[in-house]
Amino acid sequence: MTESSDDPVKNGLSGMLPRLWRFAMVLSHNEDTAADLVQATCVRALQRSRQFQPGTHLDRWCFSIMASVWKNELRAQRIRRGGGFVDAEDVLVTDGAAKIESNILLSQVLAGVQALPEAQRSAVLLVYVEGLTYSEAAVTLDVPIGTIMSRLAAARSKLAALKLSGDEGNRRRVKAAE
Amino acid sequence: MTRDRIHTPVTDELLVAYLDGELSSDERQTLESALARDEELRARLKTFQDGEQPWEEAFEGMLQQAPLEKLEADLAAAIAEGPEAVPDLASTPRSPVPRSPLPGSPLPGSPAPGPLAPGPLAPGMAAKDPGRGWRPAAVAACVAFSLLAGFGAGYGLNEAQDRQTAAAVTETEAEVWRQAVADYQALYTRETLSTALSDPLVQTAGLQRVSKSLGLALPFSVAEVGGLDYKRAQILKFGDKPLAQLAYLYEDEIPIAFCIVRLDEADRSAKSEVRSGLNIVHWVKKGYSLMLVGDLPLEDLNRFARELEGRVIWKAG
Repeated sequence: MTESSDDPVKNGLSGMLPRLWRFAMVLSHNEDTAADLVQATCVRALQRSRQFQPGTHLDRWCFSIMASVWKNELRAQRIRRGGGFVDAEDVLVTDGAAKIESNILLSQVLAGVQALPEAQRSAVLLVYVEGLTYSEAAVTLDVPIGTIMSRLAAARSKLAALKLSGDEGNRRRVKAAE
Repeated sequence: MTRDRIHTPVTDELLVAYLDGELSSDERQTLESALARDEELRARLKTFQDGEQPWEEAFEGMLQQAPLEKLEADLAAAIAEGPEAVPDLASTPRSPVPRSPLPGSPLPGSPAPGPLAPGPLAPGMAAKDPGRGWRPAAVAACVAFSLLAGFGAGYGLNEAQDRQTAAAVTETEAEVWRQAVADYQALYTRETLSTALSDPLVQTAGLQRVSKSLGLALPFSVAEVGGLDYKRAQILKFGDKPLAQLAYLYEDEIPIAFCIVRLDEADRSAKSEVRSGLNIVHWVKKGYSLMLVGDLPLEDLNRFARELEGRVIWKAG
């Protein structure tokens, strides 16, 4: 296949697929939905490739497209179900803990983040994992910067509590094994 | 203005922003002098420091978990089809989201902590989508699973195994695939399809992807059959052959699947049968074996089958 090297979107998408999929999994908690979300994001990014400004971050641009697709989707689901949006929380907590990491702490962190409400875990992913600044994350998720701050503070409080109980759990386990 | 954020009481947000290096130098100095004076504040800061985690490392493994082959194939399909093939929705990423017209719906974008909070992990939930990777060899296991799950499957395990060993002689591959599809379909509930995305862009992209794998065209009209609420399209495998599954919901209750695989059977008109307690209408056109399966009266299934066939665009061959 010949690729036109002058289209930064077309050329750049392929290398970003794992990170796009990871964000999609954090948003949706469902492998099928995540693949659809990545696909929809790619299609829309290609459609709008002329709007992309070369020299700016393609990843942030794609993240914001994905966040927008997902937000519209969430709205539709809430309307359809009369407000009772049910989150499929199973996928990453099971797969994440069992398959991904042997390291206990890392899988605890992953499970802890995945157990947060969606708004908090998307802020955590963008700022702490993808390294966006608060203001970049605010633009990406289309929310005020204060909202990013409160989501991160809430996420950190919960994970600190989790870490404490996790540490105690580990100590108990070690003791029992002796 | 920035100094205002430091005025007492110091919020959690500010402490976290301090740890994240997001404060201006003025704000930082003000907060640090407050910290020097205030033991309680230092304790609160410590709590958030304890919330510091090896974030990047923890999420590193997910990158390797991405189904790269599939994602790359999807991307290649999207590039090959050209972006014009999918209608762009009018909204841009930054456009304001219109308010929900329904009373009682939460505002878009506002966090909904209640319903989004995770429930306890139910072990059975791992079977949320059993439709991946159908293979003839897996049929027996599927039947066993469907019995285990308490569905009234039409065939017992032994019978299914016998059927398989005899398949080479007495059974066509076509029966095996219809049985496999029926077994899986019997596991579907309306909840199985509840995570499907309703955005037409997503749906069109899904249909496009499936069309490409099959070598025929499934236009968006297959998602617009009156009486069937289209959910999603996915590509599964039957042996080494791509098997398309288009999932629908009838009356918001009954899952219906329209499945297509290329087995190169001789063309024939529609027949009906019952497998795993579900009605099936199946036929062959241009080498493609098709079936519509679901817990619906045959006359309804037949009607939908005719409509769907009329909407598929058959390519030469």
